[in-house]
Amino acid sequence: MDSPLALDKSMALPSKELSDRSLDALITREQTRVVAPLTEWHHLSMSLKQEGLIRDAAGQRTRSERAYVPSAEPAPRGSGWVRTTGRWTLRLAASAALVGVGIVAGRGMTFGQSLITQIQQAVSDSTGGSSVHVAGKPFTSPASARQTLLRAQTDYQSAAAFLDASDSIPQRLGGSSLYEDRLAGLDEMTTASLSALKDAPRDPLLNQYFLSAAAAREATLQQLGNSLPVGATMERF
Amino acid sequence: MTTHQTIVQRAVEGDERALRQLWMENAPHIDAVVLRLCGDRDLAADVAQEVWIQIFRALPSYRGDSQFGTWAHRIAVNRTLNALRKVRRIAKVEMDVEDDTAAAPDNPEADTERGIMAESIDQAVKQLSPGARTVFLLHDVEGYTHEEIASELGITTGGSKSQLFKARAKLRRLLAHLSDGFSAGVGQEHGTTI
Repeated sequence: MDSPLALDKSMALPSKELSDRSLDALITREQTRVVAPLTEWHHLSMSLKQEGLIRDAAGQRTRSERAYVPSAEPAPRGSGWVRTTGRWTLRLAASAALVGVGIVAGRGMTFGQSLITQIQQAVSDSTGGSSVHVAGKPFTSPASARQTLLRAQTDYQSAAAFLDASDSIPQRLGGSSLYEDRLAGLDEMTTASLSALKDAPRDPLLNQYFLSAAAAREATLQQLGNSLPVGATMERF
Repeated sequence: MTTHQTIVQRAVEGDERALRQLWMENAPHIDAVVLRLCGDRDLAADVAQEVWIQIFRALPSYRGDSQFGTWAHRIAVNRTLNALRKVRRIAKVEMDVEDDTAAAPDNPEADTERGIMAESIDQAVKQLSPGARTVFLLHDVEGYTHEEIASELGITTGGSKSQLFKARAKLRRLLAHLSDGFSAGVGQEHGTTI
């Protein structure tokens, strides 16, 4: 990419301007910023169906007739733990909740605990820690730490999805009810994280927590669909 | 065939779960691009819907030569710029390239007096002229070259460079008050707070 850095530096007024280096660091941070989806799948899928981009699954979805209806009411803004516990407590709670998401989503404890450790360390750092090391590898910049965290999250979600897809334990333990309970819990966690993001929309930790909860919810929803009896239909989710 | 390729293949065939999975995995990044370029959440929500329809419409042309996210990113940028043209925002961009007098005054003293120092880079970017803002986002944030930007916006590469220079100069001033705290954190492992 071209850069106007040479010209900039010649004209820089150190006391009045941010340095190019600092601006570049801000840009790097902006490049890795993520947001909660701006659309809802429900609306998008309707458009895709109208476009004929989604195959009519009427003849294939023959498994469910029981409707799963999660809580559609968002948590009242300003109520509950999200509002009352304060910024740092909220981060710690988000971390703890992410631990929960990891456990229920993947049951891949070794890998999950690795991520949990990373998140806990990140939280520790965000509350005043001076440095972060993961598996003996020191980070050289906030950007590299964020990239590592995002990569780990993606890997973790893929691994969790794989483990869930190949796990037969829930069927032995009672089939869809386990997934329904999990989904209800994840609904609450997703709603709580969205509420938290309204207060701190740029907080990377809260964003990651939301994404993790949303991904776990998505995986659970698929599992629930697979576990329902033949002939049942999921009418809402 | 990898798991990801399988998901894409299923999505091409119209499998809703696969389509939804691609959306779930990529929406946080793709929608962030849309939101940055639009600068307005309500408009971005509408555009994001169009962007995702376009991505899925174009899915059969995805050959797997690049990451799906990278491929979708290009579509998102193109579609968003097209949408912005429709609401006549890009018209101002092109006009600004020829005549930048529409931009806010390039006087740091005046900026400070007006109390428009930005608290974050996305706030600061919103204070740029439309032309400078679009060029800055495409070049510095989204990684486009000046040639690509010139082609995309119908301007000259010189115009693109000029807008980028003005954008960065103004951003450095708008974010000047972050300098002390930020410089201390740059290059260190953590501890930066903006």
